[in-house]
Amino acid sequence: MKRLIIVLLAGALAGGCTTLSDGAPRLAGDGPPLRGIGYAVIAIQPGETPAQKQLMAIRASRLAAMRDLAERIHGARIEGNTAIGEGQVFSDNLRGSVAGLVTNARVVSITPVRNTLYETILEVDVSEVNAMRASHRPLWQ
Amino acid sequence: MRARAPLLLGSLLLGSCLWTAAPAAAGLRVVQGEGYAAIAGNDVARARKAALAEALYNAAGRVKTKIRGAGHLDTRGVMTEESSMLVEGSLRDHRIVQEYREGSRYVVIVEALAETDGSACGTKRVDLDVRPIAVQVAPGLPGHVLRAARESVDRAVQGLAAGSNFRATDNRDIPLAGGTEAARTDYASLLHGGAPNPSGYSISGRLLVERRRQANLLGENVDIVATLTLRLRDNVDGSTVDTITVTRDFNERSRLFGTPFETGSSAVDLSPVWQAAVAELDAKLGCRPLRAKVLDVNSGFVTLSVGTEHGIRKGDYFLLDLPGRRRGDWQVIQIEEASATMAQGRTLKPAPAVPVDAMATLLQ
Repeated sequence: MKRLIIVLLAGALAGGCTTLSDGAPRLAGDGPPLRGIGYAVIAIQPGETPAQKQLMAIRASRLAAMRDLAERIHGARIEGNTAIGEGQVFSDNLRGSVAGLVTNARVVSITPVRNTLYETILEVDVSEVNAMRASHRPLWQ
Repeated sequence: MRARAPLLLGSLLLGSCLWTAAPAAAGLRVVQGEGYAAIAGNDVARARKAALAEALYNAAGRVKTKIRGAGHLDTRGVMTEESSMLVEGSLRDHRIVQEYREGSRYVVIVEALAETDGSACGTKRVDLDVRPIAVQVAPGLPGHVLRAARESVDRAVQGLAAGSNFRATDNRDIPLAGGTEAARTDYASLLHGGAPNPSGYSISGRLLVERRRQANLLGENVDIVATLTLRLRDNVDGSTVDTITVTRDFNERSRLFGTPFETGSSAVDLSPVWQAAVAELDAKLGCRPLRAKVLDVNSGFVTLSVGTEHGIRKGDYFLLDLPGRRRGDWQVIQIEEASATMAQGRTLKPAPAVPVDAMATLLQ
């Protein structure tokens, strides 16, 4: 029995090794760069002066763009949970999560939109996307 | 001990798993980062510091950033969202490219030397000077074997020159001096006008083809054994980087109780020997960062010994290897113009000065 467990453990670990870089879809090498867009509202940012709020909005929009990019590179995990009791829906939850590594993302633009929010666009070359997909599995795995 | 066996096995497998997942050889690259900070109470100095810190943070983020995010939509249709990022880039040094006041904020743009875990495999072509490769065929072997051996060398050299990893030059007629002779003192090549690129590599060696007979009372087996030995030399200092040895057997004839039961092809194809050697050469040199030698320095304008034939383009960066340099004493050259075998660029900083003959390494 112990031997069987060892063999199963070995198989599972070896399997983990092989799936590390396998199965990640590759993009065509000459394709356009992958872009991520993020927005952040200026008014709700912390800060004592309008300039501070603007800078915080730039940061927030940048993070949102990074997240968008991570989602495009590594994908997102969606979980839904709906509970019904006596024929009636009493709980309906939807959860989406993203986790991954982003390297060499460059800023395309940081633009104020009607002085109410900031828009940040980041982009990554296709070769970089393929390298990230090949070498790093999404962090939730 | 028995109880520890599963643990030991598990650790070994996990170790091998992590080892195989380890990133390729580390490299360096130049990254830019920009930082903004609000000027509060007319305190420009403080805003400058804050902007510089953010610029460095952004530069490091370009190297490696981990992103985590989660969104939750509940039964009432209310959406909550949370994102976080963790910057893990490592910067070796930096310089401020630009800084200015823009209304009520201060802007700093930096250029930093960052460590990356990616390799430069297959992006540029390394200079490879092909020196004599002797073909030795054992006495008694048919003439077509000698012909096949010679042709295989020709084909391999042509294949190297046409490939994407090397910029191979066929200098097989120029003898290679023994010992550790650097390219600049390789007088035979200088006399022939075929001096190798000082920042590249040279190969020379021998292809030996022999016949091996194994026999006993029952039968006999005769193979043709080809052994290729290539010495890989660094042109910078003449040192031997590695020696590649590939051996392949080709069955010539087999007999059992005097009756031939398996007869190899009469034509000997030595291409598998070369395929294995070139694959090993690719593995040894293909992922090394491209090097270049400083040929000339003229008022901040530096000429390097590599060009478009090596895959160099305008905008590439080279890090200079300055002997005895201290921390922060680095110099980077940005390529502005490239011809077939040379490139010209400007140094990014006024100091330190660039000496002629210094070596530079391509940044990713």
